[in-house]
Amino acid sequence: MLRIFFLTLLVTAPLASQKQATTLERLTKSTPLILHASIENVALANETLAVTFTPIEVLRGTLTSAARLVEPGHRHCGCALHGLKRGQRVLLFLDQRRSGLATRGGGRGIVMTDRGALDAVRALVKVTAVTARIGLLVNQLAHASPRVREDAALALPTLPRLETADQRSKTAISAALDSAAKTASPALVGLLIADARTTPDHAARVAWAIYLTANGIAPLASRVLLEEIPVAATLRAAPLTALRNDVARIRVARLLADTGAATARPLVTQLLTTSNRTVRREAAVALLALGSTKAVVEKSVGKTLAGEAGRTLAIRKRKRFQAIRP
Amino acid sequence: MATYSSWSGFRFPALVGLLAVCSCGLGGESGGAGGSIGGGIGNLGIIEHSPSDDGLQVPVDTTIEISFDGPVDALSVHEDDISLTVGPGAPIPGTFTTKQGDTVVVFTPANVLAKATDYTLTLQPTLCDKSFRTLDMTYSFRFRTFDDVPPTLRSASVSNNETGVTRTIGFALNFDEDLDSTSINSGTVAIKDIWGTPFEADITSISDTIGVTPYQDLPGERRFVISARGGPSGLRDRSGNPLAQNWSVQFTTAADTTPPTLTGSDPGDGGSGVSPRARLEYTFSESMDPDSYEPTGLVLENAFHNPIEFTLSTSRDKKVVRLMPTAPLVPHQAYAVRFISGATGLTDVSGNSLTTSITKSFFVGLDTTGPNVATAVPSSGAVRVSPNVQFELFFNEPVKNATVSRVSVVLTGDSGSVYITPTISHDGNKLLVTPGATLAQSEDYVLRLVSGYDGIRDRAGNPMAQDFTLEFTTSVTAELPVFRISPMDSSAAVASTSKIAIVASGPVDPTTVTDTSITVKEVGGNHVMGDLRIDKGNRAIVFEPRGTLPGGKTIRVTIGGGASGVRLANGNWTTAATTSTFRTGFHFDSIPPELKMTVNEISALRNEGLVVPPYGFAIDLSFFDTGSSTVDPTSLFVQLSGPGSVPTPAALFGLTTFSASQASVQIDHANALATGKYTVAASIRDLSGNLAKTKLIKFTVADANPDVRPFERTQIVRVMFDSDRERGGKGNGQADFDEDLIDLGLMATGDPVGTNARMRQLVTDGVLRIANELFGRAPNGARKDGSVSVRLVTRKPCGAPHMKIAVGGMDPQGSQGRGYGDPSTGVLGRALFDYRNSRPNENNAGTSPGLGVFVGELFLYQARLYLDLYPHYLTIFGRTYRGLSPHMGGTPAGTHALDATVLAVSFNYNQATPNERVRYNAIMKAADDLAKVTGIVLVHEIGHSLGLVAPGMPSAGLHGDLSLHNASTGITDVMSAVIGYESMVSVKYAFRPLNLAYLREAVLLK
Repeated sequence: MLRIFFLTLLVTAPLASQKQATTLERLTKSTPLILHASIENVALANETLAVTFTPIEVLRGTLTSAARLVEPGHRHCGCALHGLKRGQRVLLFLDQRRSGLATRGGGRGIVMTDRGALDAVRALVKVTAVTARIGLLVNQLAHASPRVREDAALALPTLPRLETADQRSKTAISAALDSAAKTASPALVGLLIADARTTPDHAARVAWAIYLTANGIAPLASRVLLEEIPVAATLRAAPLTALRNDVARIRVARLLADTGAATARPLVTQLLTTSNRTVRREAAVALLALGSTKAVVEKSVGKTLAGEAGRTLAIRKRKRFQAIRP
Repeated sequence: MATYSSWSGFRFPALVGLLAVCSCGLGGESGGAGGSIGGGIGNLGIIEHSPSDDGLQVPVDTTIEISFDGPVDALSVHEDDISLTVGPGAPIPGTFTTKQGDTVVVFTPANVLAKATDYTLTLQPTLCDKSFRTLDMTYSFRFRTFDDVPPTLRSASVSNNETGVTRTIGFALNFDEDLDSTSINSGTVAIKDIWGTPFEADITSISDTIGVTPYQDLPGERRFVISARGGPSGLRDRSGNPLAQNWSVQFTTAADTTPPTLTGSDPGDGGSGVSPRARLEYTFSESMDPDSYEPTGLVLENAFHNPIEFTLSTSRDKKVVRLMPTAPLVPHQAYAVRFISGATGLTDVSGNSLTTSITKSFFVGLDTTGPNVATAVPSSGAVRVSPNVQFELFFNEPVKNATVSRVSVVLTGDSGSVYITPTISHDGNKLLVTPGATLAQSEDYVLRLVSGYDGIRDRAGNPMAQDFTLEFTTSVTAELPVFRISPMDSSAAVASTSKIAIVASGPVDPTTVTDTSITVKEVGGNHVMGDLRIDKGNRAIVFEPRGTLPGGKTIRVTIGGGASGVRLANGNWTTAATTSTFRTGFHFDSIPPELKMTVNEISALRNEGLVVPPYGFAIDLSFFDTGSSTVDPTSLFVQLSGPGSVPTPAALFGLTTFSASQASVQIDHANALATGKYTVAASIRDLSGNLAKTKLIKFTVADANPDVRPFERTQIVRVMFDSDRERGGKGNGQADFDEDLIDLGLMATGDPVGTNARMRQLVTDGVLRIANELFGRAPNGARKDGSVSVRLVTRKPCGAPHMKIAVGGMDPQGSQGRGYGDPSTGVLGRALFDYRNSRPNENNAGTSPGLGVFVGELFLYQARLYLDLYPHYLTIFGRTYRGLSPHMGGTPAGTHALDATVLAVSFNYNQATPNERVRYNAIMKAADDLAKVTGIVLVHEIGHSLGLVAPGMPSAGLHGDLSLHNASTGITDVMSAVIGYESMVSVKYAFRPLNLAYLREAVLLK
């Protein structure tokens, strides 16, 4: 009994892990066949799950084969058809292969439709000009459908010429980022990078705030501050006056050091006024990393601390890797 | 039979016989787990083996026998799992047989083993028995074959007849095998000058090398002989074979024409109050020759220039020249010591005399009494002494700093002397002795302060009359106390209605809780008056102020450390005092604190319907008041109600571990619950007595029988970096993962400088490191406390059913023949879902459906994105790989002029040129990013085949959605359907607590 039970459950799921590869924006751009359809039948037989459907509207392409999707009956990461029920209306993003139809991106290629989602996809199919598409996605950031909303956030940074978006769009992206930053939603990554491309000063402020929380997503904020946002914006947004504790001061000193920008030195120097020895040492490390001479640092923090800073910097210079051990 | 302290933690069995290997599970055998595949429970254990570890004189025709606690699977009886090697060499060929019902494996080498050779037998983690229990650890032992071969000296750090040898260094003698350390002493190894004068030396040994370090500087331009004695009374190897014959090497030291200089004197020049019995000591820059003494060259005289008779000696390094007057000096008299330069003067060991004469004078006082130890903490005869003990010894008078050393202060235990650091206080009255390491448990020790002129002396120079000894016995456990004080350190605006609460990590010795061991004081002010009481099985200490705390004050609570501080019932103490300094406000607190409770840290959103095993799970609490600082942890009240006997609230408090604002009640084996439905209720108060709202969680306890456990045994996962699956699984002759590395520029077509293998190894090791860490294991896959029972291997393991998962290439369900610039399927991986991991042998390497980890799809999608955006925008992927990927115009690893250098194992980053560092960093960062991403996706896919994420709510599901992923995920969740490249390379991923609890078998699916 147990075995049968497991066989029925042993179904395969894809890691729709590349969600940015399967956003509605990406799917509407690259999928040859897009249908709005109604599920006609769902049948599990001979360890195969078959779903037949009735097209309601062809949004792109021409259906040349049977309106039927098949996948193994056992469940797997990325299974597309499990859970579908007769009568449901879905948007299907399909490839037509010799073996029959296949969804693009596994389960991500099937979207439960309501009027809002359908209109959103229709618009994405229709609008191809990049500028107009940016505007469309910006509007979709506030869409009622979570899928539409999140996909818009993830898709925006994948668009060229995002930097040239109009002010209204930029403001909307910033507002969406503010909202996502509070919840650490998956859309945060996309919005942070999109905002970095459109309103770097705002993105820098948000990224600094995330970075100083020192939580699990702080490294992402660090990467954005160092790699996505122009250094000048990162430095302008450095929250030196708002630092509430020495741990935050140490984190700021470290990130400023990593900018490698000599223009960060005046900011680091401000950290030297603190009484905490560790903060001052960290600031000294940063100054050395940013090109200050040993003599200058010694003058600021004294020989002992400068010596410690020099040794610390020497140890840190060699890049540490998370996964590999060369 | 091994016994286990925990069934779901992994698990520290009692050692039985030679060795019992760790095991999970409830012990015993089972007729069958889920599905059609039966099997045993836990891990395979080793009972004994022959030869024994470090066995000597093992016959060369020996067989090797290993006895297990179960019949070993036939496919494990193979050199992949059991190998005999010499060093890192290839396995020794031979045949395997079994006996005693296959519980004993016998390896018979094909040829007679070499004589006098060290062999190592290694058992791999994948070795399994017929019930599919695996060893899940690497175990090895070594032995040495029959050895009648004398050891020979391979090399020495000084060659025969070498000249110009530095006078101030040690020498090393290297042998062809390890020596018997008991044969190494000053009688068997010596250094002498050419006239046969022995020079004292420190003789040490590490495995096959002997160190000879003369205590003194060697005389310059002199011929020396270092000798090692052979024969029956000489050096011998571990098997008892003596060095065949005496060995020696001669050398000549470098010339020394540097005159010595006086660097210090005791008494100091012009010093007063010197003891009439003092020994006068003069320190030089190098070793001095006492035989160069001439009465006219070194003179001790009184104020009337009358010579005073003395005896001359030197320190062991001969740098300190000591003058001991043969009769007491006269009090209130002035004296002088004159070192004369020139022919009659004292010289260094090379014959160089002082360049100028030196005179040092001093005045003698009355003090002729040596110092004594007045008090010592802990005192002599102390028992239950904490293993982190630091001794404080107080003298009746100041002692001379220079006389306190590891020679004059010695700590010895049953197993020999202990490295210590003696430190004398600035005023010379207090000696602090700090052992270099934690002392052994239940062991007798003696601390000795040496008397005499080589021992501790007072500032006048009088020695202790007799040795001081302090005997003590350490406590039975190494567990040191941790005290948490509320209000926490740095708290502000603490209500004046607050009391002070201290929770200890274990029961305290109530006799040590006094108003001197715990003080509450205004900083710079008075003691706060109050009363101490002990509660909750002696783990809680509460200080109730008499009245209220003074408002607007800074108050410091100090719990004394050391022997006179607060001690646990086992006797142990903290090394230093524990303090909390906080500031009071002027208000009364009437607002209750907040309390949150979870089971296994599972969010309140997901704790409905939880099923847990009888033990091995945790009730976790977090509490906060204003500033998270004024909750009273000692007031924590946790009550279980359910069928049968349940642990009382007091017992649960005893099981609780506390951190800053959190607590965790670990339900252990001794407090196992009966099956049935339970409710846990918890409440807590703040320091003003306000009661938090009581929290309740209902859960069910079920039998952790094999049918419901995902891991009756360690799940082996074969990670197939070698899969080759193009053309519907037929392949093209090259591993798909290698092709990915070539596309990404981490390997080079044709391998021009031979770096491909290293790059592949770096990345695959990195992938496994990330995966192992996500499963809570050590980077190499070794078990750790709380780790998941998953063992990743990269080769075909034993006959135990195991999961296979392909890594590399493109999604087999995508169009064939795609390449750079073509669209990705958007799918990074796909794996079978297996509810409760009922089938341990999923094949996630098939092509229909296409299963595995699709590194190629990552490349296609990211490459397409790069092409779409560049030059408008450069993606993180583009930044990392455009300098390497041949498709993106990069120079692959292995094709750049610097690559032979920077990819060599011997590459030294610190000595590299800037260009070499840039190239090295570029390649390694790309390799690191790929390893991280692939590791996370790999764990995600394996997770599916372990039962993640079962759809629906507990007790049948784990809040998975229809796509078998966690619903409502954040960025860092491994089992999210949303895993983006940018976050994977930036953020640390982890399993959601509910998923992790399932993998740790701390929750069950009915």
